[in-house]
Amino acid sequence: MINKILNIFTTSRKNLTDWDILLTLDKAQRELYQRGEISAARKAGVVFHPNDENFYLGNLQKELNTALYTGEGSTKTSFNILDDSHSTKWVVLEDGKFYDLLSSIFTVGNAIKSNGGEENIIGLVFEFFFSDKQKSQETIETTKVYLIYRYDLKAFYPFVPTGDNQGDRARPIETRLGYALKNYGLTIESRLEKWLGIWGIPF
Amino acid sequence: MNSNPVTKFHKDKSLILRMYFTVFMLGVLYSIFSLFLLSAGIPLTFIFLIVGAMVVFQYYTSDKLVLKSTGAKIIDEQSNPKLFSIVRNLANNYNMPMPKVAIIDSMVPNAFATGRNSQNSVVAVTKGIIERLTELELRAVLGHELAHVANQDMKVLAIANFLTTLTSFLMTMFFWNMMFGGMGRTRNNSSGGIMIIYLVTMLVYFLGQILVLSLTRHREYGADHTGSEITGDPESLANALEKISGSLARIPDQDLRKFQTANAFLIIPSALKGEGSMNLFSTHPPTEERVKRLRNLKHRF
Repeated sequence: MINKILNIFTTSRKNLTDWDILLTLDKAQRELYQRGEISAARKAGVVFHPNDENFYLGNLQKELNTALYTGEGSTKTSFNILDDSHSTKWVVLEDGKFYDLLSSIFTVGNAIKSNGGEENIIGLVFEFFFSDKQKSQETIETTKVYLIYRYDLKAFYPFVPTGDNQGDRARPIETRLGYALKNYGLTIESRLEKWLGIWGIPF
Repeated sequence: MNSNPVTKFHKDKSLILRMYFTVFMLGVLYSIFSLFLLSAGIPLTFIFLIVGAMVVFQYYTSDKLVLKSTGAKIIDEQSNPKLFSIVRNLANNYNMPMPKVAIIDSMVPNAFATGRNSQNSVVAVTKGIIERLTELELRAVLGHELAHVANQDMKVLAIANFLTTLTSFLMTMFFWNMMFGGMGRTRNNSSGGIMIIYLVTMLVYFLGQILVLSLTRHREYGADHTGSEITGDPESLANALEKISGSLARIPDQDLRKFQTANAFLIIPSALKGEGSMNLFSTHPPTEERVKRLRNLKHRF
């Protein structure tokens, strides 16, 4: 009840568009990069279930060439369509400019969603390097981490696999990273139960 | 005597203010209550003496009682040199005498400090916590526990305990008085009068409990802060709290791709059970809030 009352006075993330939320990642990663805590890798991916009945998904290579490379303001982001061991597909995007990568992944996700693929899309995945600076440790370990964005939650959460086997993940690093990103304005899913992993990410 | 430099974090002024406000409210509540009882002709001095004696007895024997009730065994340095070394190092940082160290034969991860002052303090840990935490995390937890001793939380709690014991004692007394008559019917000699006094006492007991529990939660935050200053490592305490509370175990093992659509996610248990609103009746603040504050401390040198 108290939460319901408080919600009247706060902006619900349900009112924000996916782009509004994705854009906060650009600001958060820049600030964390300046603090030496995180650096964006060049890659990100859209993961989705294939659907033979969907014409758009069936001709994705051609459709994405149009979506990404034609028109004003198009980016130079390269992409590849890959299969994984779970029979799901990936559009893996690569760009040295993080804002362009963000813009391109939003374009791809949005194109799939608005062409009948809304039920097929699983999420967006971003690759980062996290410098785990614990005060009392002498050395700084750099770990490859992922941020998963879920359209159904309208939120991000960190994912740090420690192997390809399902269940292998570095939970303490994930929560540390989650707190750090939340402090810098990123919308992080607060319910830890929702932080489902994706093992065997192809980048 | 300090073996390590102590990190100074910014003072949490809001926490200090809330703590003083809670103490002030307790003072106001019990002052009004005392005046009310005196005007009703209740012999307060006698009751104060009985309850005071009970609380003083408890204060002086609580360490032994706690150790006995938890089955904690005082150990010597040879039994666990590493644990002793951590405690000694922390005690030096606090400029306090080396406390006694006890081990509890339980796999439940837990730790506590007890004793009326730093000369008589005992710090106890379970075997479970030693096994599950890294050395840095264990050091952070022990730093938090010794902070309770350094911050004289035992004294604060003894005073708070005096107030709640007093009201509890009065409640019982008025209850039996209503049943069988006797004291209290001298001036306001009606059972209706005693009934009103009983109801007021119940209300004061309820409000007093809320304030005392709020105070203990504030002291927990305070111990987190002091402990982090002594160890210089709030992150390890945050990690330890997450491990002890089991919140990390809430992060699932399942793969996201096994769920076809957004609606399928509904089968995953919701985490909204009672979280988000502070439980007025808990002695400790929510782990999530403590972890959040500790991780914020990292950026507040």
